[in-house]
This record gives sequence, C-alpha cells and structure tokens, in this order.
Amino acid sequence: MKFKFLVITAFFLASITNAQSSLVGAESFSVNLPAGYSRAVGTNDYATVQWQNEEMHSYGFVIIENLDELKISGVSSDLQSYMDICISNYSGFPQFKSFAPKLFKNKKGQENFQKQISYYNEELESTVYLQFNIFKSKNFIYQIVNFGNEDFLKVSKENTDYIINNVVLPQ
Amino acid sequence: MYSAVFAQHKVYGAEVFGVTLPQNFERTIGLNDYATLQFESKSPKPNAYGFLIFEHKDELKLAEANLDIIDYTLNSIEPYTIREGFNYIKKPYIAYERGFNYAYTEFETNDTELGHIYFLQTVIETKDYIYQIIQYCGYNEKEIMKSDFVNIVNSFKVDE
Repeated sequence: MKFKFLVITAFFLASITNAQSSLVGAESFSVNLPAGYSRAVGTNDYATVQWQNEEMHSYGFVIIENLDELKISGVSSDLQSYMDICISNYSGFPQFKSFAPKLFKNKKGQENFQKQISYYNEELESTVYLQFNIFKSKNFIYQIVNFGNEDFLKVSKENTDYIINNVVLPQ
Repeated sequence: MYSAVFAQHKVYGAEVFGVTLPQNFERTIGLNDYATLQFESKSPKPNAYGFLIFEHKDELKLAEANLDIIDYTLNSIEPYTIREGFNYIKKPYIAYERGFNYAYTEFETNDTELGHIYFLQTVIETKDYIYQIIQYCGYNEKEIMKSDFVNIVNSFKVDE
C-alpha cells in the first residue's frame, strides 16, 4: 500500500513537472520586393520587416501579432475587425478618407482583406496614401502596409500588387 | 514592367522560434510594445516577467548598429543603466551554447518608484537574427526565480 502511494505521488509530481507551455514567437515569412525596392528601417517602430523605393517615394512594412495575444487583449482576429483597429490609428488625422475595402485571394491563394486610406500629414504638408492588407495564418495575423505620396496609389499600384501577390506566409 | 517584376529580391521577416515556459508561467501582453513574445509568472510563484525582442541583422546593418553581441547587449540595457540604483551583478559575458552565441548579463535597479528589481538579460545571435530576452523579478525573489529564467533561456529554439 505504501509503495502504491509512492507511485501515485511520483506520477503526480511528474505531471506537475510536465505542465509546461510552448510559445511560438514567430514563424517564417518573406516578402518579394520588385526592382528598385530594398529593405529599410525607420518607417514604423513596431514593424518586423520594412522596405522602400526612394525613387518612387514608395514605402512599406509588416507588423505581426500572435493570435494568442489578441485573445488575451479581447481583440477579434476577424480580418475586418482587425482592419478597423489598424485604420483607427489614422482616422483622427485631418482630411481622413477611406476607400471601399475588398476581400480577395492573392495569386498564392491566400485570403486577405484590403483597404486604402488617405489623410493630410501636417508635418510633411502633403497627403499620404496607405494601402492595408490583412492576412491571417494559423498562429499570426499580418498587417502589411504600403504607403506613399499623392501619386502612390496610381504610380506604385503594379509594384504594390506584386508585393501583395508574392508575400510568402505559412498557410 | 516585365523586367521589374523579375528583378526582385526576397526579404525575410522572421524565422520560426519559440520558448517553453515552466509551470506557473503564461503568455501575457503589455510589458513592452516592441516585444514579440511576453510572459509572466502566476501564483504561487512570486511576480516575475519577461519579454523577447528580435531584429534581423540586415536591419542592424542599415541602422549602422554594431553587430558585436556584447555591444548589442550594452546598447539594449542602456535605458536601465540610467535608473537609480543600477548595478551590475554580472557584467556581460559570452557563451557558445546549442549552436548559437549567447551574451548574458545580470543587474539590479533600486528606486523608490519601482522598488528593488533583479534583471537577467540574454542576447542570442542566430545566423540572421539577434534576439534579446529580458526577465525580471523582485530582488529578494531572484534566488527562487533565477532557475526558471535560465530554463526559459535554455528552451529557446529555432526551427531550421
């Protein structure tokens, strides 16, 4: 009987010891940049990867968040709800405008939600145009932002489309 | 435009990595805005916290930051060195473990607002990335918590 008690105790202790949790910190992803674009720093402090095309005044970055962190914050990981949160950081700026969003699959078959906005940047004394694309993998949500000056949505469209169509994320 | 599409190059945003938390630790938020991963202890353990920040080495090159792991350590703890009561318990030192370069440092801060705090800071250099893990707890709890902190650092894993 005493031995049985020891075995049970040992099993209980082993269970406690094994009560660990593995946290995924990041997953491998990459962005294919068209000619003229290169890795950059300084476009956004929270970005994991950033790029620029100085000649075209075209810039971009990716911010990732673990879905478990969103759960802890009580934030929905629904693409549209997450987009609303991203956009809300800009909606208070002068002359804020947002354009019709669209939900589509990129050329790699990954669903994403896209929205374009603009606002007047008083510091730069010009209108800034931004395109947000929200993707989601099993463990992370990705906010991909491309932005530039007044000509950005027209002049950089082909390059921005290329970036969005060729981003490589885990399924 | 044809040539522009093909004359492209790939930039990597992250690699697969993770840590294993001991019992009575859990993921949390709100410790550091730049952190990719944050955690804290749960009762009955004393209060302890940690977070991880990573950077691609190419970004450090662009920022003209020194890639030396000791310099990186000194640079990353600079905000703590100006706190009242800052004192090294162990000055930064390098170890080569599990295939990566590690730099460790232990220090304390002691001010009236935040109290007496113990810090273990670890910098890990992989092929393309630099990771820093900062873990801290009340100074009086350091002997209890240090083994958990070390276990968390030792559990750091990159999937090739």
